[in-house]
Amino acid sequence: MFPTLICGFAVRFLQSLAQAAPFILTGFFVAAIFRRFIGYEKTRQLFGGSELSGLFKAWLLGMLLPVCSLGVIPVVVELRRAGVKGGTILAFAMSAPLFNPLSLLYGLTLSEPIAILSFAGCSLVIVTLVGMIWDRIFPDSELTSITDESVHYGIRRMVALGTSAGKEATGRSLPLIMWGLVGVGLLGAVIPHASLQHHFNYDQPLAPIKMALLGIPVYATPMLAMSQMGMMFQHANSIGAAFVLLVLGAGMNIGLIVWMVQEYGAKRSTVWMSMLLVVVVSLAYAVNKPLFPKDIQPANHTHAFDIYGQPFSGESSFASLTNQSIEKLKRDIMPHEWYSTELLALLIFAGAIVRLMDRRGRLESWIAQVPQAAERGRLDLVVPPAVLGGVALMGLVIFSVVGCYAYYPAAPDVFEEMRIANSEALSAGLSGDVTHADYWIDVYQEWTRKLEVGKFLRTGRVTDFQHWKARLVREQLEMLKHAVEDGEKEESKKWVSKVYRSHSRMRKAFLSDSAGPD
Amino acid sequence: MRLLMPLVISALLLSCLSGCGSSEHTNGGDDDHLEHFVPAHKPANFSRAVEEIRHRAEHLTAHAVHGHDDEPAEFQELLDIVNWLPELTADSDLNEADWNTASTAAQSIAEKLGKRRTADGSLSLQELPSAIVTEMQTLQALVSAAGKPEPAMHHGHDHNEHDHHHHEHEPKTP
Repeated sequence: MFPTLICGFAVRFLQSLAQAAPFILTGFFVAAIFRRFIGYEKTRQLFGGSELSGLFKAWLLGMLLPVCSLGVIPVVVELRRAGVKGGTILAFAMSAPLFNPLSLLYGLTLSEPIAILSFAGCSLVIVTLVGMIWDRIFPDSELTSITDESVHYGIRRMVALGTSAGKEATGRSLPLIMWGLVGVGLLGAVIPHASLQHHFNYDQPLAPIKMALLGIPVYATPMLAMSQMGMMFQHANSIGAAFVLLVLGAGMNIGLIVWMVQEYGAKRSTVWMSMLLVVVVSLAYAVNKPLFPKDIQPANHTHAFDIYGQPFSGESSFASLTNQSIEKLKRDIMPHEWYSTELLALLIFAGAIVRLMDRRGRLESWIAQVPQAAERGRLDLVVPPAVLGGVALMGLVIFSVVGCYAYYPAAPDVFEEMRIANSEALSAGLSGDVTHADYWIDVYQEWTRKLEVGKFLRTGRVTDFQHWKARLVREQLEMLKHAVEDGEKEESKKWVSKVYRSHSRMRKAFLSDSAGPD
Repeated sequence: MRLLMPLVISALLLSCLSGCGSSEHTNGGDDDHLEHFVPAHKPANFSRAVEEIRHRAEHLTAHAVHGHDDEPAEFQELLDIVNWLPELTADSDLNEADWNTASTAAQSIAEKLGKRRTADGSLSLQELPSAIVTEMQTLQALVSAAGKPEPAMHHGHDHNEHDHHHHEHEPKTP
């Protein structure tokens, strides 16, 4: 019992930490940009204006910045310090983790694009409505008498950016992020293995409410949430539950709730959460039927939430579970997640060193100094810090948009990458290796979605014919996965042949009008 | 004290969720089986679908004079098959132009069938085959180009006999 709990907690905690690491790093640097470059006054202006416009800007900026619900924590901590209104900060905190350009594009391959666009529209309604009501009930929630900490030009700027990010990484935000990770770790320890497969079927009237309960402690990156929604659409599960998963699973975590309670108190936080739950669940029931995929035969299960339960079934010794956990983490954590985790560890270490070595605040005093005026050339302009901060934030947004092209390659490149997944998945299907088949079929299915998005990015359209070809491969892979798991060898062989043929047709459909080699 | 509320909330949520999961998991009822339901009337391939549409349209018209209890269900099944045509056509060797032709024909049949059902649910099934004869000719002409018909796969996928829960399905972070 205990080994299962401990290993379940450790695996889910570490998996989520690795997935979140790139976003947490981004969050620390975005927070430092607000603090040191843009400055508190300009930050208030950025999120200011009329009540509605402030909330809309919070939603829009949140949608564009590539952060998750853990990565948004340092940013909201900074916005609070800057004196931004409570409702606006909470709106930003909720909307920033829901979408980013990568995940929005991915979402367009799910069912009809109208589904994901409706979800984005609903998220605007939620943050605007809840933020506006909350601000009316609790006016003057913002901090006042704030000292601006933006810095002057020169090397001080760069040092300030690094020290601010490092100090925040060892300061207020760190325990909050840990709370978020503990939440998802506890789910992994307590929820029995694969026990959530039947709770979110299309015919379960309580599915959105159950998802609201699960969604708060759950942690999902924007892409993971999209991928889970993809599974739910593919299985024609409850669409209301999928919507709640996106808003609460991707947008909320225990760390954010702890922060909210610390900053605004239990009463105000309870009001926010209650309003949020009422609006989210109501909208979930409203979209449940209209957005239900009409051309998919519903399955009586979903695999989207297996990731939140205990990772291993049955009892086993501590040593055996530890080995399995290590193997699982090695297999599941992507190389970029390892690098980001290492960088995050480095940032935390550097922040700790700065805190230890600069107890008297000499570094901060040096950063705050106004540099002596020196004679300059006509082209040697001093760029105001706010401009630099704006450029940095815009650069981040542009980088994430450009990143879409790298993440979703052109069709010929996708087929090159897909070749490995294709051969691994089909050979695992023939040999009956369940773990291998499960892993590679998921990878294969992801590539079919990337194929569609990559095509859309470059040509502006994916024809219905191409969409059907990719969708058929995904559906047949799903059936192959089940056949392998059930140990049905003959059945698996048939599905392998079918996937093989469908893959060739999909290749032809996408490459026949492509400039690349066939 | 400040952390009391989130702690209580998370503890409640966890106990609720794990409780739900455990109880349902041990029921051993039908809900525990993992199924991808494929309706029995779904044809295995494009050529079979064309054949089914022709046959079912003729059958419905032939019995329209006398009327029978299964009419609405049979009509709905015919409509289902027509609506599956884009998928079944995609699961063949037809090229994009032919696929578009087949899809347009299917859409036209679906629209014509839709007009045969009034708001109160009553059906007008006289001369159904002749009403869709052009579309059927179009579809029939594409059968040979569709290549070797796809073999029938089994209908429904029941995990009852196997311990599915021993396997993990986890979405990979894309």
